[in-house]
Amino acid sequence: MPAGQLSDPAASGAAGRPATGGGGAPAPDAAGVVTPGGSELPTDPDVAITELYHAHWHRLVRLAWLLLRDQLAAEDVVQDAFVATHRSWSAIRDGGRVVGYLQTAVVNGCRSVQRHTVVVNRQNVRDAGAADAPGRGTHGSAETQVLHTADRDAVLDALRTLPSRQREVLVLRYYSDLSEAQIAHTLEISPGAVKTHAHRGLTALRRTIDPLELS
Amino acid sequence: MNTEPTRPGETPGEEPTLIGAGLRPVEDRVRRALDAEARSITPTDRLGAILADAHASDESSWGAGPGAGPGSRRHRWLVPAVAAAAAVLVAGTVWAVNRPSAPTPPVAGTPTAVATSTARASTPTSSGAPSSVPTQTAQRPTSPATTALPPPATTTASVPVYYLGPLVAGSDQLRLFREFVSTGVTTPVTGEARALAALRLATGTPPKGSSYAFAWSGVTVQSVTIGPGAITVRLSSGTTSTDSLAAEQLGWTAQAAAGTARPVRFELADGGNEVSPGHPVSASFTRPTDPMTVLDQVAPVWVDEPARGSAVKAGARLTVKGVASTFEATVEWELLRDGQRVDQGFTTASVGAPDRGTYRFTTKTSLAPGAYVVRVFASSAKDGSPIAEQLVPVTAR
Repeated sequence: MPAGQLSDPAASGAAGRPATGGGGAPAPDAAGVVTPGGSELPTDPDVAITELYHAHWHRLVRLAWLLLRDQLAAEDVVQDAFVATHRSWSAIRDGGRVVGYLQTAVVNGCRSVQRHTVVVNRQNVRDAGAADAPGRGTHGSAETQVLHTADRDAVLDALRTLPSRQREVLVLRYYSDLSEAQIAHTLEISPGAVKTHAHRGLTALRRTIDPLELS
Repeated sequence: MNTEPTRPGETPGEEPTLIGAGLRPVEDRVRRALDAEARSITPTDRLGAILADAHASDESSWGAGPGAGPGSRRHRWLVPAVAAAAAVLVAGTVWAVNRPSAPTPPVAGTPTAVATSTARASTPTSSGAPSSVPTQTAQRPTSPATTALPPPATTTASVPVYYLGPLVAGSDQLRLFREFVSTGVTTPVTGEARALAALRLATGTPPKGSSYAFAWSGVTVQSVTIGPGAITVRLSSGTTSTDSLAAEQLGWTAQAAAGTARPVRFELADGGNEVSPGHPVSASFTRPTDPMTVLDQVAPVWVDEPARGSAVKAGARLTVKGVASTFEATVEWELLRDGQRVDQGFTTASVGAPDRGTYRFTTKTSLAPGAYVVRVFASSAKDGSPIAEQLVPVTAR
C-alpha cells in the first residue's frame, strides 16, 4: 500500500479521522504517531518528535525544497516546524492533527521565507555549499546536474512562474498526493479555492510547457 | 521506506473529477518532474539539532521567568494555530537577521535590459572578458528605449570568500575560513562574475578587526573564465607571501563562488612561474575530498550567518548558523559584549569530525542594542583548551 503512508498523514491532518484505519496496515511507526486518538501518541515530546522525524523528515524537506528550491532553507523551515511542534507538543497531541499541523507549518514557513527572498543571497550560499560538499547532492552540484532532463526543467521553470498559491496546490497535489480536502486544510483555504488554483495552475502550465498542444 | 514518496496513480477516493482529460498529460508531466526533482536532494540529518533547539527554547522560556510570571507555560494554552504562527515567526526571524541592502539596481528600465551582451565587466584589463559572458538569449530586450539605458554595472550579492586565518587567536597554524560577504558583482551575475568578485575580496585587505592574514598584497585578480574542464584565474602576478595555503585560498574561493568544483588553473600576467612559493603555475588546484585532508586546509568551525559586521535585530534572540567538523559534533558558543560573556551554550552539528556538518543555535537571551561578538569554538577533549574558533562581530539595533 505504497500511497498509504503518504496520504495517511495527511488524512489525519485534514479529514480529521482517516478512513484508512482498517485494512491498509500502514507502517507501524508512522501509524503510531499519526493515528488520532490521543492515547496512542507518545506523551514525551522527545519520543514523539523522534518518531515523527523518522517518518516525515525526508518527505517534508523535499516538499519544502520543491517550494523553495533551496535545500538549506528547506531544511531550516522544516526544522523550525519540528521545533515548534516539540515546544507545544501536548496541545498539538490533544488536537490530534499532528502531521497536518507539521505540514501547514512547513508550507507557511516556506511562504514566509519567500517573502524575504532578498535576504542573504541564498543562491550563492547554495552554490558554495554545492561546491564545498561535492557528495551532498545539493541541487546545482555538478553531479546532480546531469540528471536533469530538459523536460523536467521546463516543467519546473514553468511551475516557478506561477503565483505561490497555485504552486503550493500543485505541489501538494502531485508531490504529496493530498486530496482536495487535505490541501484545503493544509493551506487553510476553501476546497473551492483549491479547485480553482489547481485548474488555473495546470492550464497555465500547459500553455507554457506545451504551446503546440493548444490547437 | 517512510522517506520515499511513492504514489503510482492512487488518488484518494473523494477526489472529484475536476481535471479535464485535456490536462491529463500535463498532470503526468508535473507529477514526474516533481518526483524526480524531490529525489535530487538528500536531506541532511537534523534530528539532533531539532531536539537541541527544542530544549534550548524550553530553557530560555524558563529563563525569561521573572518577567513572565507564573502560569505562563505555553503548553497550557498554545493551540496549534498559534504554534503555526510561532513556527512562521521563528523562520521569519532567521531570515530577517541578515537582510542585505536591497540589491535592486537603480536602473529605470526593466531587468530584461540587463541581459544585453554589452554589459561588460568593469575590469580595467578586460582581455578575454567578452567571451566569458554567457549570453542569456532567453531574455531579449523588448523595449526600444534600451539603447538609452546606461549599462547596468553591478548589483549587490553575497559571495563566498575564503580567508586565511589562525585556528585560534595567536596560533601560527593557518586555515581557511569561509565567509559570505556582500559585495558588488557585475551583471549579468554569472558564476564568473561572482568568482571574480569573491577572488578580489580574498586577495584584498582582510576585513577590519579580523585576525586574517594578508597573503596577496600587491596582487590583483584580472579575470576568471569558467571552461568545460577548468576555472581559469588570471592574476597580475604570484605572491611572495610564505603563508601556507595561499594558493589553496584562491582555489577554494574560486570554486565556491563559481558553484562548481572544477579544477582551478592559474595564469600569471607577469610571466612568473609560481602562484605562491612552492606552487608552480603549471599545477592546477583540485579540492581535496578526503575529510582529513580537507581539515588540513579549512578551519573546523565556520560561521555562515550572521555575516561579519552585519546588523542584527535588537530585542530578539540571535540565530547563528554555520559548518563545523568537531569531536563528537560538539560546537560551543558564547556571546561577548565589551569582552564580557553575556550568553553561552553548546549545540551539536549534524555530523562530527572528520566530516563537516551544519550546526545552528539560537542565543538564550534577547540582544540589547549594542555591539557584540559571536564566538563559536571547539575545545580539546584532553584539557578543554580551545582548538578552533571563529569570531564574528555584529551590531544589534
